[in-house]
Amino acid sequence: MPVARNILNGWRVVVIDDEADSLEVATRILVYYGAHVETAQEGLTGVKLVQQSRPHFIVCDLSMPGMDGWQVLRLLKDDQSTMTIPVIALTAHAMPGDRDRAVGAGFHNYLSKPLKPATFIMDLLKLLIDVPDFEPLKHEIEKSYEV
Amino acid sequence: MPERFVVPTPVKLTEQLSRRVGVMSLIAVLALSLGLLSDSLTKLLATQANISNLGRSFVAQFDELLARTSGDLAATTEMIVQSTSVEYALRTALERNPPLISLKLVNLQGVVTADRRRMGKGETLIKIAQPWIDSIRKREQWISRVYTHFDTPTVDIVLPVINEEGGLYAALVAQIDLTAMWNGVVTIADLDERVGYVVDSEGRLLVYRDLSIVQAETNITDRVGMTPVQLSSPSLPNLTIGLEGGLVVAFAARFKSVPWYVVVEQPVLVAFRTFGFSSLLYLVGFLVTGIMLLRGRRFVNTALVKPLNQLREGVEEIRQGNLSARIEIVGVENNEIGTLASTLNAMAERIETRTQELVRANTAARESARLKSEFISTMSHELRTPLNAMLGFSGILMEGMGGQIDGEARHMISRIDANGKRLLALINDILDVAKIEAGRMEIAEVPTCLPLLVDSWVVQNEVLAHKKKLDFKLELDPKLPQNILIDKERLTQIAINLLSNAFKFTEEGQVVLCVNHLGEDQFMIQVKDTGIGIPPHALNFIFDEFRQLDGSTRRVYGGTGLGLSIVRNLTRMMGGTISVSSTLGVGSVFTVTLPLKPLSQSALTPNI
Repeated sequence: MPVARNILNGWRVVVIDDEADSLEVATRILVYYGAHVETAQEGLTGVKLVQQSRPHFIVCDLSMPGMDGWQVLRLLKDDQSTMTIPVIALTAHAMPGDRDRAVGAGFHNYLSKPLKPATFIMDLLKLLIDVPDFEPLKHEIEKSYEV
Repeated sequence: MPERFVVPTPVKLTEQLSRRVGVMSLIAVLALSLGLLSDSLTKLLATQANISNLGRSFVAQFDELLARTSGDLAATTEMIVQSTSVEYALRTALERNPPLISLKLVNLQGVVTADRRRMGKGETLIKIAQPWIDSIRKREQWISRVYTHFDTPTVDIVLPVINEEGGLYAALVAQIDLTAMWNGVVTIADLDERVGYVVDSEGRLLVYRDLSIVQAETNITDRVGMTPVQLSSPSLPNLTIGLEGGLVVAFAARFKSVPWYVVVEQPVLVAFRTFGFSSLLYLVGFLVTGIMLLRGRRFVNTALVKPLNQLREGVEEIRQGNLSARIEIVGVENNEIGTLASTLNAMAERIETRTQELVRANTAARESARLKSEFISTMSHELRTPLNAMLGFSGILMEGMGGQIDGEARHMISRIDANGKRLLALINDILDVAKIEAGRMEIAEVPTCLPLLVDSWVVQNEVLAHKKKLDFKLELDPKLPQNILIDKERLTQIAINLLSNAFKFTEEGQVVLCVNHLGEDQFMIQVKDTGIGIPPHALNFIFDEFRQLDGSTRRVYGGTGLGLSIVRNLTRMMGGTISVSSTLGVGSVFTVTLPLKPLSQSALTPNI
C-alpha cells in the first residue's frame, strides 16, 4: 500500500531501543517517510532527549536493561512538559492482554516486533490517527487508501 | 483425593469383653447361688431331721408312759374284780402312778362307787350322761380331750371293768395330770428356740406352754397353714408359719396310743445359725467374683482398650497426613501393643523420610521443568532479537527503502526474508509448546466482535488463495451473536493455523471457512479443503507433537509439526474440542467446537 514518502515531513520522533539494529530499522523507516528522528539506546537518555526536543511522538521498546519502557513512560507522564506526547510501545513477544496492560499504563498503543517495513508506517499512522495534533495526517492517510 | 479405605467406627472392646466377663461372672454367681441353695436345703433337712427326731422321741416317751399307765390301769381293773377292797386297789394304783390325780369307779348307772384322789375329797355322784359310756358299753378304752383342772392339763382315761364271768359292770375313770408327762414337750423352748406343742388329728391345740392359747381353742391349721398330717410328712423340710408367727421349720410326730401329734418347730434363722461359716465363704465368693469383674474390666481398659485407642488415634493422625506424628502409649511399652506401636512408629518414620525424599525429588523435578521452560523462553527471545533485526533489514531492502534493488539480488533478498519468517514461525511455535508444557499459556477472554475477527482471518489468507488460484469461501452463520467473550488472539492462532494448513496442502479446488452456531451454547469453526487428504492411519496421531506424515512431507510442505498440536492444546484450554475427517486425495475437514459466551451490545468496547 503506497504511502506518500513525505507524509512525516516536519515531524520530530524519538525512538528508544537498546537493540542497535532494531533501532536502526525503525529509524530508517521513519526517516524514509520524512520524519526527523532522534534515538536513544537507554531509557534515561531517552527521557532526557524527549525533554529537550519535545517530539511529536515517541516509539519506545518495553524490555530494556536498566530503565525499561514502563519506567520511561512513568517519568514522561510525571513531567508536565512531556505528559501529552503519545508513546507507542514496542514489544518482542506479545502476550494476550499485553495491549490492554500497555494502554492501561498510559501508552498510546503498541506495535509488536518484528517491525514489518511494508506495513509499519500504516500501522503506526492508524494508531496515531485519534491524536488531535495528527488531524492533518488523517486526510493524508485517507488519500493514501484511495490511491 | 478419594478415600479408598473407609475407616469404620470401632466397636467398644470394653463392652465386648465386659459382656463376656459378665456372662462368666453370672455363671459363677449362679453356681454359687446353686451351692448356697443346696447348702441351705441340707441345713433345712438337718434341722428337719433334728426336730423330727426330737418330736419322735417325745412321742415314744409319751407312748411308753401312756402304755405303762394304761397297762397299770388295766391291772387295776382286774384287782378291782378280784380283790375285796376296791379302795385298796385304787389307793395302790395311785401310789404306783404319780401322774394320776384321781381314780373313780363308776357303775353303769353313772353312780360313783369309789373315788380315790391325791388331794381333797372326791364327789360321790356324777351325771349319768358320761361321754365315755358308749365306748365302755362296747368294752373299749376311752380317752378324753385334754382339759384344765386347777391350771393343770388333764386327761381322763376310762377303762371298762369286766367281771370274771365276762360281764361288764363298771368303768374305771382315771384322771391323769399331763404336766409331768409333757413337761419335756412344753419346756423344749429353752433349747435352740425350739417350741413343742401337742395337737389332735383335727389340729386343735391340746398342750402348749402358753395355756391361754390352748384355752382359746386354737386350731393350728388356721395359724400354721398346714394340717398335722401334712406336717408329719418327712419328705421335705416343712417351711411354714410358726404357732406364734415367724418363719419356721416344723415337723409333726404322731402318737401311737392316741390320735395326737407332737409338733416341734424351730425358727428358720436359728436353723441357719450354724450356717455362719459357709455363708461367709459364699459372701467371700460373691465379693471375689465382683472384684474380679471390676478388676478385669479395669485391666481390659488400661491394658487393652486405652492403648488400642491411642494406637488408633496415632495411626489415624498419620493417615490424615501428619507424618511427623508418633504414637505414644504409656505403660504397655513391653507388651505386644507397645511393640506394635514401636513398629508402627518405625514405619511412620520410614514413610516420613520417604515422603520427604519424594517431596524433595518432586520439587527438584518441578524446578528443573521450570528452568527448562525458562531457558526455552529466554532462548526464544534471544533467537528472535537478531532474527527480528534481519527481517527488519530484509523488509527495508525489499521495500526499496535502502535504495533500488533489482533482479537476482532482489530475488535472493526475498528468499532471505521468506526463510527468516519461516524461522520466526518455528521459534514462535516452539515457544508456544514450551509455554503450554510449563502451564504458562494464559487464556485471556476479551469482548470481541466475531464477524470482524473472522473477516481479519479472511483478509490475511486472501493473498495466499489468490497466489495459489484457489477458491476461498466464507460461510458465516447469521444467527451467531455479533459480540462474544473469547481469547481472540488464541482463536486467531487456531483459525490461521488451520487455514494455512488447508492452503498448504491444497493445490486446486477450494478452501471453505465455516463459522456456525452449534446448539445453545457452542459454536463451531470448520476448515474444509480439497487437498491431498490424510491417510486413515495418520488420523490417530495428526494432533501429536512433532508428527508429520513422514520426512518427505516436511521437506515438501515445511512446518515444524507443532501447529496442530498447539491448535489442539489451545482448543482444550479454551474449553473446546477439535476433530478431523479426511479422505485421501479428496480433502480434509477440521472442526473446532468452542463454548459460546454471547455479550449484549452495550458490553462491547471497540477492540479490533
